[in-house]
Amino acid sequence: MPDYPIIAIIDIGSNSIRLQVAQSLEKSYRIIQDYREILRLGDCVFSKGYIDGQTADLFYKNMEVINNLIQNHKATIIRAVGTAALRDAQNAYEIVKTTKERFGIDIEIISGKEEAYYNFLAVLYNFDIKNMNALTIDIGGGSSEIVISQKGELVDSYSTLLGCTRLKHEFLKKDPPSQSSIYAMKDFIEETLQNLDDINIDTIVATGGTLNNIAIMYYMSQNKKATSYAKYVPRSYVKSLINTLRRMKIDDIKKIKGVEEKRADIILPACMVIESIMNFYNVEGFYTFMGGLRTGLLIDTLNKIGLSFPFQTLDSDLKFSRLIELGNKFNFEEPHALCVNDLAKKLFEQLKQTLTLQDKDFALLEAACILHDIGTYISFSKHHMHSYYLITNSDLTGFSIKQKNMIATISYFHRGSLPNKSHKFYQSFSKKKKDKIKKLAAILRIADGLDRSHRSFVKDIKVSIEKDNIKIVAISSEDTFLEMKAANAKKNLLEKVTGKKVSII
Amino acid sequence: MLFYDVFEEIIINQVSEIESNFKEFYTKDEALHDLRVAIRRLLSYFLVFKKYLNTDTQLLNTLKFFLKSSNIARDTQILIEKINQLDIFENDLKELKTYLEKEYSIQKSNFYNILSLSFDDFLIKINQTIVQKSYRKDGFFDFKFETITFLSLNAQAKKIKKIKPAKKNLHKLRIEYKKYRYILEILQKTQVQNQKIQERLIQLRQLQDKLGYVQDLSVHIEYLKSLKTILPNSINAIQALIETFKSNLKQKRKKVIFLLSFLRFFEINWGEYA
Repeated sequence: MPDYPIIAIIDIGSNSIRLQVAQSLEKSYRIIQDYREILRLGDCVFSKGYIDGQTADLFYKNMEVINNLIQNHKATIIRAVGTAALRDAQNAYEIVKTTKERFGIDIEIISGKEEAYYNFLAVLYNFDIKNMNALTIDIGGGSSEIVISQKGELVDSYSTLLGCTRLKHEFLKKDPPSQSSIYAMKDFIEETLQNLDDINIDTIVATGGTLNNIAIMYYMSQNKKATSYAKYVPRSYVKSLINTLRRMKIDDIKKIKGVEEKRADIILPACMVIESIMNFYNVEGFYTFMGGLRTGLLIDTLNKIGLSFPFQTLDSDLKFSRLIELGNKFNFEEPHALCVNDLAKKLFEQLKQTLTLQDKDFALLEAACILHDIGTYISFSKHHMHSYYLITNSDLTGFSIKQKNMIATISYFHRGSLPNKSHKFYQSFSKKKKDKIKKLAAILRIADGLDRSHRSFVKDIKVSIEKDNIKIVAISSEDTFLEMKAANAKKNLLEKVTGKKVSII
Repeated sequence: MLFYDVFEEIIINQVSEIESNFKEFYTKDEALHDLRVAIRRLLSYFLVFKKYLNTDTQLLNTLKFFLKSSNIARDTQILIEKINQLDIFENDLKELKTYLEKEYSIQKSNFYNILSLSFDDFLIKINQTIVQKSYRKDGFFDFKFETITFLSLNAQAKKIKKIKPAKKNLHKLRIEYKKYRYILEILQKTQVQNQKIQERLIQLRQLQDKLGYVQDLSVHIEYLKSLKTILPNSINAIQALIETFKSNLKQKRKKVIFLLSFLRFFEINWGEYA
């Protein structure tokens, strides 16, 4: 395996300072360190205009911790960026200079437009927005970066002064805030938004720690699992939250389930910004996910050293490129995975009527085909079990948790014993889903068998279905003795689900 | 092109604009706004070219009356739009909004009734003026449209420059700038390629928006103050709105005065577009 570089990304925001250390892989990356401290540089900058001595000391202390982590991980590429707080701080130059002198780290102060672009890159990486008009927004401490895209192409970007720490300092001077200050803040937000393009927006994707915190609050209020990677928050919730928070003291806000203590004072401005955006574009909710600027910076940094991601190079949907990327993360054999997927597709098309499967079911089979062997990353022995574990514990963009579990289960059954009562994870599905898993796994088993040598010898498949028999003809110009043997050994599940005798020649 | 020929065409256009908006008063969303704009334009044309016209004072008074009688409806409409922006706090503002909507409906209907009563007379009067060409003044029959327009522009620019950009003069300046823009807009129709005019018009529209915003805030504040006794249950929300508008007005007024001072000092050749 080639020696891929270790990259450290430092995001110095108005609210928090973050470090993410990642090991780059061929078409992916693996996060090996994540560090965050809520420093609130913006509190100082937006009230005084500069970073005072005490805050600067705290900043350097954190930079020291970050620098140690970077050294420990032997990162070879370090990229540190500063956003609104450093853009606005009168003594930013001094901070940048001292950081360089003390730690050898160069801080790049990026413009609002650049910030918007990196966020957009992170959204592109996480959401399938290729067929829609999307608005991506990062509500930070000092500014909000907004990108409008049409069919995945960036159309316009805006950097606005709608940062939640900035708004807090500008308007919310009393605790609880006065009614007039709330109205004035709303008025300011509305006026700022008048500059945006008035186009039809299908979806809003928001990033930033505070919005993610709002999403966690919503999920917890609904007794939903708050750890899911991507979350959806309805506008109605944000509206009612605004009307609750605006009358509360910060100490009381801190007691609300899910509120991150250090963000308690900036949740209300963040809610009001995102609600106004939803209102402006008449959208009934927003998506959010973990990541944002640092993800975009990581992608951009990897791009700059010549590594590109499947979502940037594959002419396919995001779901597929993320599957390839996940496979890469676990050093899968891409040609074998693609060959199995191709053969499975051919089998699926010819068997779907007999198996009463719908076209949309292929998405689950496709994911299982790509990922069925990733367990070999841990050990070849019982790798189907490892695949199951790795898939269930990965983020699969575009699939629900239930679908992810189905994909893992289909992958599990690509070899070894057939589904039975001893497989508790399998038994946890409904009868209908169990039936689907069995049928899709039956196809995967044969497709995998037909590439037993991992040399992609079988090029095509013809299936003929009779009353009691299914005949599968594998077309190849090579010697496929091994493939025939393996496929015939794995046809048992297909025979079981169809009740027909299967012959593979 | 002779001035009176073009002027006649402009007047006919404005009158037909007024007529069509009056007909669509209850069917077109923007009818009230568009109707007021057309009335104001017509009035402004008579005023800015006053020196070259035999103006019928009664006609001008009618136009002024039309504008005045629709002021409250227009102000209420703008205030409702402003409050709609705060609809997430609807429980606070529900009573106020209901009151304003009712008031708007009454004022709109009053204005319509007033128009209905005097509209025919107004049309007859203006038609007579056009047909009899009684607006034409001796000594200017041979004057070209551009000559008179440039002269009027210069005169209007001088008038504006005499008014000091100060808090008390903002409304006056808004009206005078508007007249200036209207003259420039008719001039633009004959000089479509003139880049200077295009740029100036964009600048003037932006200025007009800012001045309009300030004026609206001042009017809203006074109007809301008067509602405090009528709607005692909404007193907190009304007071909060007044404070919001006041702080906004203070900031916006400061900015617009600065902008006006800048224009006054650095844009001195407003009459020259050749």
